[in-house]
Amino acid sequence: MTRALFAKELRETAGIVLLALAAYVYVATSLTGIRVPPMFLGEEGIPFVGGEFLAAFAFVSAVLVVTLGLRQSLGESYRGTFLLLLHRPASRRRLIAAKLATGTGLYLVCSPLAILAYAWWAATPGTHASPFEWSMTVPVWKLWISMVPLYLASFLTGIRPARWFGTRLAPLAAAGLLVTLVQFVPWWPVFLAAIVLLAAALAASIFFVAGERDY
Amino acid sequence: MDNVITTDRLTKYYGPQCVVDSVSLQVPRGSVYGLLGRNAAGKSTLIKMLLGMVHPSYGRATIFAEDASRLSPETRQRVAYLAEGHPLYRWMTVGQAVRFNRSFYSTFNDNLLEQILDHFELPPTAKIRRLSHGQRAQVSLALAVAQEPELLILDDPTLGLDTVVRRDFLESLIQIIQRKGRTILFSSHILGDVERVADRIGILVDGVLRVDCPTEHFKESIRKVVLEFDGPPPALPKEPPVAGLVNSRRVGNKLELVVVEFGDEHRRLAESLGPLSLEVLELNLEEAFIEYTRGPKRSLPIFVGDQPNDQSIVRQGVA
Repeated sequence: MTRALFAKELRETAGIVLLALAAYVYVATSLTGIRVPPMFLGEEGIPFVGGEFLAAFAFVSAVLVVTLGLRQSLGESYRGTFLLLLHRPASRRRLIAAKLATGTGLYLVCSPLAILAYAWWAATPGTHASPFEWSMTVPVWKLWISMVPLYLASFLTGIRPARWFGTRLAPLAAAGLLVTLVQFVPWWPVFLAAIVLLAAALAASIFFVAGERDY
Repeated sequence: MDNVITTDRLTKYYGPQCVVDSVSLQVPRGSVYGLLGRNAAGKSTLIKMLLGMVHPSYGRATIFAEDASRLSPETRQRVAYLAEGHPLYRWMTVGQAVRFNRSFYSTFNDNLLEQILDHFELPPTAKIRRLSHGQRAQVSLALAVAQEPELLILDDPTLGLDTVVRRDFLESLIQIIQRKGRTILFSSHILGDVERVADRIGILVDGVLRVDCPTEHFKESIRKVVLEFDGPPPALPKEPPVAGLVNSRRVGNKLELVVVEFGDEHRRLAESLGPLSLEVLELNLEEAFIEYTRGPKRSLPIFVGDQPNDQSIVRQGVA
């Protein structure tokens, strides 16, 4: 049962993930000197410090998690398949958890490939005329983990009934603001605690809404 | 006889609008219950409340004695549900849809499924998005039946199907009914379908369950009385209100009365108007439904019970 649920979610999100992977490859290759037209990205100078990679990674990741979250929640509503899915003999919590685990897992697995590929290039001697320390990648890793609450907020936005766009987008807007603010927290433990708390609150809200809303 | 479905004053408000109003019904085990009503009468909302997809504002529903708003996976295993429009994952093939569904049900009957798919000539490799609406309905029905449910709930299953597919679908449904005495609740707009398969009907009018009785009882209770005059028909006396009179209208020199439980009192009233002729017509289910539901809604008599008797018709307030 669980395998079937994961397989279904993987199949339904495969297109989005493949597009995101292509975008990550484009970002990484563009900044490693392989200029692939159209050229949206400039020279970074010092890898991970120049800001080009961070901005591009943030953009692609944000688009990926928001699209994933909305696809998995609003997609079922628009197709009317929530009625099919939620009548399967499994608890509603389990059905929603399978969706969240797939979405979070896909993001957490596919996005580091871009970071690792770019970092591997940056760490290879002779590829660029600037120093490289692994600690320079910390802001990107912070951004990477920060996208998890944004994904959950996007899922909540899709599953939560609302009268109009303003209130429907409220979870996404609030999470976006909090995730941005938390980037400025210099202490890792505080930063991580804030992200985990935010993610837990959003996941709890998703399970509550999924259990209480009308379909 | 035990009841598979029971609702007690089940009510649903969307904002200020009451879409299901204090519905109390019982569906006995082994019965085929047809839920009727015009568009927006509250049929789908009522069905969704029975399956925990919509939470009631007031009241309670149970399925197999379990609270419908919190159905356990074990109870859902015993209930098949065909939602309106037959939602399926359109990217799947028929075979993938089968495998997806099979993984949830310990009682999934592969042989039966194969027989039904063969009967409908649906190959497992067919993409669901390429199937017609009728074929998707057939896939939904096959999947629902293969899980060997004790209760089958179908929300307007023949909506949008052409006559031939509808007939084929219903014949399959009849065969399913004949297997192991399953309980079936289905809503429909198509009265001919209901007449063929349902042994009991419920009629929702603006969210109120006005009729809950055996199909034959409802048909036999509604009569159209046609009075012919030599000029414009006279008006009916407004006082006292006539018990059981659902509707009256003038058609040329004729006065047509729709009456529940036509009896001596109604005959005396009709004859007191001095008609040239008086004819009492029986109606089929469709005609009875139309005549009944287009009457003034608040004054519709309510049918509840198993046998036609005085207590089975309750006079409501006058509109």
